[in-house]
Amino acid sequence: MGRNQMLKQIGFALCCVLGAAIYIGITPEAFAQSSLGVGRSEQAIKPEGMFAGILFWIQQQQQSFYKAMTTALKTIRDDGNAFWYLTGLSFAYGVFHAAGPGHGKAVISSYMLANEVAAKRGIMLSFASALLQGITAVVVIGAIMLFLRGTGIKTSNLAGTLEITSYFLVMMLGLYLIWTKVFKGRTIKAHAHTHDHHHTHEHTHAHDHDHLHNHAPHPDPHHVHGPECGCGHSHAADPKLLEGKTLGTKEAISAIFAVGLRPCSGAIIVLTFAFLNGLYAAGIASTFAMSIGTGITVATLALLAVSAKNIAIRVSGAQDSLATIHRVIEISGALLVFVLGFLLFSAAMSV
Amino acid sequence: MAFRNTKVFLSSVAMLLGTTLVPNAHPHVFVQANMEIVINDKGQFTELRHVWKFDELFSSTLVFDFDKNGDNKLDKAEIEEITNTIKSSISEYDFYTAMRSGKDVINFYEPDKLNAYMENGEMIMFFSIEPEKPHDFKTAPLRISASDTSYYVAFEFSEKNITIKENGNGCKTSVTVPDYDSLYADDSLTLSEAYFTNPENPELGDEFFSWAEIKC
Repeated sequence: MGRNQMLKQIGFALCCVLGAAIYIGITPEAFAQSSLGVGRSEQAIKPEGMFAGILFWIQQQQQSFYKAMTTALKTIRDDGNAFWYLTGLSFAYGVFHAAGPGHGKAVISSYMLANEVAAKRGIMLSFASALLQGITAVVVIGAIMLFLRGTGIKTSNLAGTLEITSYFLVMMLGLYLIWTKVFKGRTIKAHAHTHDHHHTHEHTHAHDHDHLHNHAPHPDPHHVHGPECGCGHSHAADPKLLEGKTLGTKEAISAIFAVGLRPCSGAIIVLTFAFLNGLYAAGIASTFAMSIGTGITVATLALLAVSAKNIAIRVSGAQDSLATIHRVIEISGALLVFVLGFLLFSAAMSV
Repeated sequence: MAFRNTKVFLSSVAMLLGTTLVPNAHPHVFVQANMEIVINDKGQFTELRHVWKFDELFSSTLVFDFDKNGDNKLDKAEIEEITNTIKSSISEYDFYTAMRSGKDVINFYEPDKLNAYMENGEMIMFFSIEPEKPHDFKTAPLRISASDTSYYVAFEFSEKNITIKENGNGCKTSVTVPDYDSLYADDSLTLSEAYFTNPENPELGDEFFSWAEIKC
């Protein structure tokens, strides 16, 4: 039963991910580079599927904010006003930007599904990765402006290298998560299935426990799912197991880097124009306003994903299936991170 | 067991619905498309001249990327590198051009060369497209669109951007802009899916882009 059960779970998780990949419409071709040949495109996916209407609306909002932003930039160049106007627009652009395309929210959400991540930590992850994206954009454009102009190194090449690195890291993070979820879980599983382990649920932020698990199916402080759920990281059986904590932190940092290394092309374009016209403060302020806006959306969506997970677990009710469902969701999340990374990486490499 | 699997399945569906990871593209490049429609003395459409104005922000990224000698300007050789790159790339996207004689597709020859210059920080690119067969307005109206099906470039044009050259007396131009609200309100979703799974069908997906219709 044990081995069979595990295979079924993995199989089911695989189906979930495949379904999700089809559902979210990721195909390698879809992530092709810009059709124009110059400049880099965001993931080029047509709005389709059941949320196409909303997405198209988001896209149109984004477009109008982007256009307003470009007008504001030109105004600043011509008469120096509109600095706060630009910052506000950039913030709004960031909010809508993250709601539309972008791998950031996908990776962070999947990561949070794969892990028992406290809400605060999820928010921190979302903002840190969004801010890092902003920093990356400023560093890339700054470096080109100061050192690399005329060397033939194009923004698109540099941004492209970072993008590919980012996708590679996402892929690796996915692999690592799968490894901890599936294989590390198995070693403990053999004796874990039949009886409950009454150890408490230890998080790196113990005080967050209540916030996240209000909706979670923990009827009592006892751990309802056994360690087969892949407790290799932030929830360690023994609070003194510092190793578990560091692993969780390391994972979180790698998630931030995996996402944040890829500069947002909107920010790149705004920064290029701003720096070329000597509007350094405006360009940087705009970029970070975008990052904060992006962070808000990514955090919201990631928390939604976790709530959906908790609701799904609660709806399914029966105690004995909880561990299975929990595990399926976690493995699905881990696989999704990997699939996203793999598809994005292979598409970026093939161009 | 079957019951449990059903629950597992339902939970996963709930989970997936909770994480709508649908990425979509949104244009970062805006082009003001001007189109000149040339009509010969037999009243047939023989040539389309595109004159595209790229937005200033995107144009500045071109200066950044292609200005080899670092003088903040794009000279002739640098511009040529840009247009060559663009040409080889958009050739895979039918040069962002679609033409119809009524409902039928008008095939066209590959343009010779793409030309460009910078004006007030904006890149103006122009090139000419020749239909394989002259279009006769007696059979059907001419419909033309400048559009990027990958949604990277957003093309904008209205009636005032379309000019009829030479023998265009008595020709009328109208431009239709897609009505996204109604497109996504009903069953057109399936239509867009059908387009992306069967791009061979020229009719599907047309309604997602602006079209100019010329009647003579």
